[in-house]
Amino acid sequence: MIPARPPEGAQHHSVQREGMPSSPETLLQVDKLRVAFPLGSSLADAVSDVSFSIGKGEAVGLLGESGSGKSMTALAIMGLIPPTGRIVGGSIVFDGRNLLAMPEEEMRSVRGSKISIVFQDPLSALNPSLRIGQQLIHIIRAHGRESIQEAQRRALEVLDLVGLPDPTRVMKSYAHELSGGMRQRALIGMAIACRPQLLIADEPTTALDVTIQAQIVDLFRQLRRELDLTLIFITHNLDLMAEICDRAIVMYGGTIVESGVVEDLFSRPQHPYTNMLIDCLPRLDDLHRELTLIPGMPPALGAIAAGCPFEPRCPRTIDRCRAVRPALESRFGHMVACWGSPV
Amino acid sequence: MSSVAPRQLATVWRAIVENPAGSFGLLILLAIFGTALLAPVLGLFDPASMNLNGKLLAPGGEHWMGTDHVGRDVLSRIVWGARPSLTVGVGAVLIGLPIGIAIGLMAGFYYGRLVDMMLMRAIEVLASIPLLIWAIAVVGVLGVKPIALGPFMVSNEMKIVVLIGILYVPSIARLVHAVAAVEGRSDYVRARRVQGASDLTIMVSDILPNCLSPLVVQATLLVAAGVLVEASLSFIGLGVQPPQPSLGGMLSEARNFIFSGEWWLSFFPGLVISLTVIGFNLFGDALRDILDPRRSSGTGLFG
Amino acid sequence: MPEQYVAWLGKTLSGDLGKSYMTGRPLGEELARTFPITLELVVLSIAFAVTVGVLLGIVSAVMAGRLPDVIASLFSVVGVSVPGFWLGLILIVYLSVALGWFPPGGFVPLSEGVWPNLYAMVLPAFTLSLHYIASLSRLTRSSMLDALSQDYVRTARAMGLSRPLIIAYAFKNAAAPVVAISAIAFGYAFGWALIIEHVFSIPGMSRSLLNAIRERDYPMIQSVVLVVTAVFIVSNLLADIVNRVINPKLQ
Repeated sequence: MIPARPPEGAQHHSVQREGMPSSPETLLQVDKLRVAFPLGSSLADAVSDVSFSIGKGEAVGLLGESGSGKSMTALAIMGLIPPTGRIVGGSIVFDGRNLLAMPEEEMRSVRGSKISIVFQDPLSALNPSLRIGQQLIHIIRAHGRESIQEAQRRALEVLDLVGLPDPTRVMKSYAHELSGGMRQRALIGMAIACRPQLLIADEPTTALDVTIQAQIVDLFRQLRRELDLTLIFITHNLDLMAEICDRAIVMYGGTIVESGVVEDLFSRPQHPYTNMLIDCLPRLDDLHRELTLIPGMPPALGAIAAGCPFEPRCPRTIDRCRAVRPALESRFGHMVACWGSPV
Repeated sequence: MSSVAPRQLATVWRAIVENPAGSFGLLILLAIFGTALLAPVLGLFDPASMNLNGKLLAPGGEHWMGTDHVGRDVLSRIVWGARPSLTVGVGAVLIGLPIGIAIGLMAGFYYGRLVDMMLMRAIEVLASIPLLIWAIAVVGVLGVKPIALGPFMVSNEMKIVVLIGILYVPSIARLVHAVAAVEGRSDYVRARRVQGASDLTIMVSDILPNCLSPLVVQATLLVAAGVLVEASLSFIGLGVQPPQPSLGGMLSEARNFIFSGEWWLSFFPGLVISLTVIGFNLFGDALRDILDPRRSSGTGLFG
Repeated sequence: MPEQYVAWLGKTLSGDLGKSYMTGRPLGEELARTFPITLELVVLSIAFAVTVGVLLGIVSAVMAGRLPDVIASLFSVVGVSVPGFWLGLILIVYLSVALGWFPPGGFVPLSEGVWPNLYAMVLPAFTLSLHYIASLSRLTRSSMLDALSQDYVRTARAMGLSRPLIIAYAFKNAAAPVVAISAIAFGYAFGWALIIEHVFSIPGMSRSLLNAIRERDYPMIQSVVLVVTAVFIVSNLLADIVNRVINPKLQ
């Protein structure tokens, strides 16, 4: 299966994959996004010059360690950046409108109904003193004119859709009365209750047991099919990402270092960071190999000066790496930001 | 909260000075304590000297705050009247602190053991006594004259100080107990025991310093409360007895002149009480913010 | 003396408070007359304080750092520091004597009408409530700020819930300490109410107590102290129960 080669400098990718229709229509376009936080007397970038696009129906993975800016990018899309941070530049165009220029009241109607997000820890994400049903009904009624009975019916439908075995009981339960997997399903249910076009999942399985993780991943796949969802899947786990996503964007230190179709990324990773991420994966066919670790730590906020953010930990640096930040260029069908020669 | 070593005192001092509310509060306190302490040498009118020709003068001229119904200068009565209030406030804390610390340390250090249960049970009983009512009742029953306790003559002021001080013990003891219960279990305490340090040494030199920060904040607020209680007692006639000046007493006398327009008689004494308490509260809050930055100051939901 | 005390304790617990030295009448009778008056003052004050204080606290939290919050914080510090009896005097001077809006004190029994009764209570209840408005608003503010910084508030925003609903979400979780402290405040207010009564010449328990002190009527003094202490203990217990009831839910 050979993925189609996109023309040079193309802003979006068309994906040919078995069973998936080709959908070149762009749903979300992020352009030169920059999110900064005050640090001392100046600003430090958490997200710096990030541009990408998501096509309708795609499932794109946002990959990186904590501190890479992936969560902050998602929050920027949702308009939920912590109050101390500021969006200093760029645009986020969704369905023809720039979200960053949208007044808050309009943005509120977008959240939860056109774009939704599922957070990492369902226990803390759910209100501890309200029942699941109450929270779900509030969400449904926030975006439509349903009566309470109608909203209740839809809520039960949604809970059934996300695979909860006893929706009526779940409706009456509090978050702490459910198991971790059920809680996450309920949270996902709340996110899709109003049939959003775009669903962002920020590390949705990190707080769960490994067995439950697989179930939730299955759920995402199923929902993607049944609801024609476009998905942004944020994770630091390559395996998980590869199971769901067609494309992946690798972030480090607030910038994109590599992006492309998943198979390309795995077969010919260009960026040293991507390489090391793949190397870190334990391999079933080589159980005796030592677990590789990437030496060093991700950069703290404000610690990145000029040059490539990965330079301190990179095994293949050249002089230029410290001085100038590499721009994204096309290589072997996907985009890479690296001064090193093609691998 | 961490302990405050002498070297860190300078850091705290600087932080206070940079905090506008805190330094304002400190300024007020210094002004009031300073004036009260230096009262004898400030060249004020004699607070007791009456001058029926110059009675009920409005503020102005020689008498910056006017005169009362027997011609005494209000300003000097306020300065002298602040002394018992401050004495009671500070004195009560000076009594409550050592007792409360001792009980809290013992109970917390031996957390879960019989000593802890008994001591904290006693503290609970003490804590169920409402301060103001009991102060009123005890002084009411014992009378406002000095009483003889063996060879000592206990003045009314002393009675009040001891009474309030004892009732302050629960809040101090609970604070220390909370810290001691946690720290007593910590690794470094265990290490100290292994080193051969006695329990008493550990309590005093290792656990106590950790309590200092919250204690200082609490003490500041308790002094303020003491000032208010003393003023209230004097207001209803159970504190400082006339003709001795007291802030509460002056307000009580001022009641007779509400209808006749001598506003300065009630305005200034109350203003001074308020300012004193405000000063303590501002200073105490600033201290708390500095010594315990974990508390959420927050930036609001939609800020 | 100790034997007498034990006997007294026994009789008290069985409801017989004994006879006043002064009037020879049973003490219970007088307290039954004066206690409800003080109770009304405290209930009105605390109810007002909780309503206004909580609202103020929520507004302060939602607008933290901005002008309304700064003003509210300033007011809090002042409110908690100003002695009630002084505030009462000032209010009487300006609102009662100068402007004639309110009576300068006294008490109108309910039998003469609900409205006259409440009207006479406005100044005293407001005076007593000020301190608690200040402290409850501070407490609500910090409790709300805590709640607003929690993940579930971020989720509520992410799901597009309206602003008032989000504030309600946060408040539901912030309410517990506020309720508990309100109960404790009720107990403390009972003590300070006696001082306020004295300022406004309200014939509540303060009159019983102060007369008893003047006349050396020890049984009466004991009885008043007993009643107030009982209220204090009960309110502390209530606060304790509130804390226990709310918390297990979160586990």
